[in-house]
Amino acid sequence: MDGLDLLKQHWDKDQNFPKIDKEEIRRMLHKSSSSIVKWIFIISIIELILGTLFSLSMPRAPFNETETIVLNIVSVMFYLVILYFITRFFTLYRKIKVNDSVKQLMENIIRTRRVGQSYIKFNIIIFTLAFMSGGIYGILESANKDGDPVLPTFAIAVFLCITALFVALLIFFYRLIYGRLLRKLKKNYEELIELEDGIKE
Amino acid sequence: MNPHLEIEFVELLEENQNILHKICKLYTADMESHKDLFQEMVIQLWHSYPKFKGDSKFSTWAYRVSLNTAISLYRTKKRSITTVDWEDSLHNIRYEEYDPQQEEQLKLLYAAVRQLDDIEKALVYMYLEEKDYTEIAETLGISEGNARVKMNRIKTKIRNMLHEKGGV
Repeated sequence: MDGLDLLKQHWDKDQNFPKIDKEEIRRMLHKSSSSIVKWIFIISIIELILGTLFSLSMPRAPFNETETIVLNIVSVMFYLVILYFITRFFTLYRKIKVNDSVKQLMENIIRTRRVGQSYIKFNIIIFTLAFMSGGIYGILESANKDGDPVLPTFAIAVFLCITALFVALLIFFYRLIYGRLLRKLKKNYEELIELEDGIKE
Repeated sequence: MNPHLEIEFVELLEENQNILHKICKLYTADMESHKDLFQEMVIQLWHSYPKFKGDSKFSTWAYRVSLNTAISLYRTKKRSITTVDWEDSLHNIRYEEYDPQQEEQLKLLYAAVRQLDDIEKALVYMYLEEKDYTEIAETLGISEGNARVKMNRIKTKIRNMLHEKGGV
């Protein structure tokens, strides 16, 4: 007899399970879920809030009229992008349904997660650009005030290294958190895709 | 949520709880993990119950949600202490039917199935539940032909695993 067929025979008769009564089931209903989707939702909401707070708390340097107009246009575009991310995230989040097929569910989770990831990438890029341009502008301004004709190359190089280190650390911690959270899901998704591709060949 | 809905759900789940237990048995190796996964399945089922329209049987809907929970949603917790392992035994079988050799073979079989990856376990579960390939393919989101080929490969894989251990 085939291995699995022997298991099948036993499978139907197997009643060797703990019996969970109605009261216990009722208690379970009110417990909090610890699913991947719940964590993705919590982390994404934190990301959206932090990203928005960060953009609001950016220091505003004294600019002339033209610079202020340019900055206002950039700000409006920035908030439109944030609005796009928030709308997209909630639209995709609502599509996650546990009674979908295994493949569909995994795809929806990964797609939702990708919006959060793109949002963070967008914020890191904006942060780096704003930080770098602000910092270099400040260094050049102070050199001008001192009347130093030589370009402060060393100060700029140190500043750029610090920025690069900070961004690298940010990316590292970010990958660490999501790497752990999504490892199992990604592995299973790849397995399913491999199954489709591998058999087609 | 509506209290009537809760009463109805609890009754249905109590009747059908073995579906969840059987999936937990394939996806976990100890009692504590079994309880954790069972709990998460109950929560997921309860959260999506208002959307269950009765197009399919409760049992069909429940096993699909439970499989999805085991494969995609459940985060395996790291345990600092080893808890009691599942007893893959024939204790529930009548004494005259008890066969120690068969018990040993079953233990080897369960151990082999637990070594499979999550997608393969889902296929094995549906095979053991005698689901047809149309349903298996639909549940996983793959083609029927691929489900069939994959199932045959799993059977061979299990047979090889058992041969290595000198089993069935």
